[in-house]
Amino acid sequence: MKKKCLLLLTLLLLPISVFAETLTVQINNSALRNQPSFFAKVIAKLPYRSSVQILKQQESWRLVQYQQQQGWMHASTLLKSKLNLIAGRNLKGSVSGEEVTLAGKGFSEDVERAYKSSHKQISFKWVDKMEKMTVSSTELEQFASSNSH
Amino acid sequence: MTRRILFSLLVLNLGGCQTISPIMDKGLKAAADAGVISSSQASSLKNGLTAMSKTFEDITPEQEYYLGRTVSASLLNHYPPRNNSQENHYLNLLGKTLVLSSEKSQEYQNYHFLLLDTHEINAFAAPGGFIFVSKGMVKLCENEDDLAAVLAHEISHVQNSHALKTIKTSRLTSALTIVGSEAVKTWGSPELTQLTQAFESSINDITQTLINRGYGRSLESEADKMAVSILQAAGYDSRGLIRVLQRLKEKTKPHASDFTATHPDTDDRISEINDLLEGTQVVTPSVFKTARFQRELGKL
Repeated sequence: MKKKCLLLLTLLLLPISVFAETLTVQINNSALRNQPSFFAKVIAKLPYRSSVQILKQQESWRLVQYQQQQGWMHASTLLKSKLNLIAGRNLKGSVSGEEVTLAGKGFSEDVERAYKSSHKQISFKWVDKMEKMTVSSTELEQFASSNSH
Repeated sequence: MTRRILFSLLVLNLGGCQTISPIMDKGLKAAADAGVISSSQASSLKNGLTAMSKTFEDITPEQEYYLGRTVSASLLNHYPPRNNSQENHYLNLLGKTLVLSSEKSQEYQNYHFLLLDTHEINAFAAPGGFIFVSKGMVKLCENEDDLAAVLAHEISHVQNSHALKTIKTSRLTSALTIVGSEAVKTWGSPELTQLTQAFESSINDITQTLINRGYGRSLESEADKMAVSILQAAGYDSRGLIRVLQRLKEKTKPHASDFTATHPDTDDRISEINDLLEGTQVVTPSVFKTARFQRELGKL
């Protein structure tokens, strides 16, 4: 009985991260929101390959822990991957053939940089500008809700 | 005889199945049993074929994003961007509203929309959610529903990975052979050069499709079908798609390098969409939304 209580106590005291699944952000600048809704306020934007711990699941939304913050992310922005599959860099740890193949697809920031250096006539200025053309959740909600007029 | 069978099985598998097929597996075993290849060769071949079988389906969102960025830069090398932040802001509000309504629920923040400052009638969807609409195309729209139809169609191309499907298998295989073994390799500039070449060829495949060839009837049909469901979910008049296509037909010039050149079969598409909409409730474009459209894009 004592052993069981001790075990239970130990389990309860273990940090949440032991049980929480770790996923990786697979879309750059993925929104971390204060509610499980696309109209909720964006509290942070997470870069590629950020690691998050899943605390809770609600339909297609995940409550996650990212560094010191907690918030909701859409499941489509997260990937189950424990490895740092950065193409063009040394792969650490033991990897399976399949994971190496996936890493070998490698169209990455390095490849874009190499492409730019051999195609100096092609400007990315407006592509960068396009990416900065954001809309706030509030604006979008107002715009979308007016469809009921 | 056995070698011929083995070769045929190899060719079949390059069709792009995600995992090695049971037939292929049996074929390899049979070849090993018959002594055509050793069992370790059969094992390596199986691993290699499984690797080569991966196609556009295995391009991760991150890689799709980088492909999309470069396709977009290439497009913008041909077509000037419309430098008006208010007009583009409206386009993004409309586009992202439609993304929210799509079946494949995705983060709308990752879609980006831009007007092109050309009278040529055209719209493009690059991988990763970069979508372009020319002012020529906008002028074919009489209200927000018509424009929503154009955007919904382009969003559907992205969500169905149509641009990625046009990348020749050889480019992806080439990218794969760079890390073709199961061993961990150290990367160096030869590998990066080879990968960059595969990347460049992939970009060319996509931009050639977008600008010159078009997707073909089957993929356009798929995009039309999904566009209708997006429009219905978002509360827009799906008949906007038919109206825009009809106006396109009227404006067709022979040998034009515009939308009609890469989007033939307009009559067939109109007919298919009509079939899809038969019996559905008619949605009248709202006065409010039409006024908004005219206010925001009236100066084009």
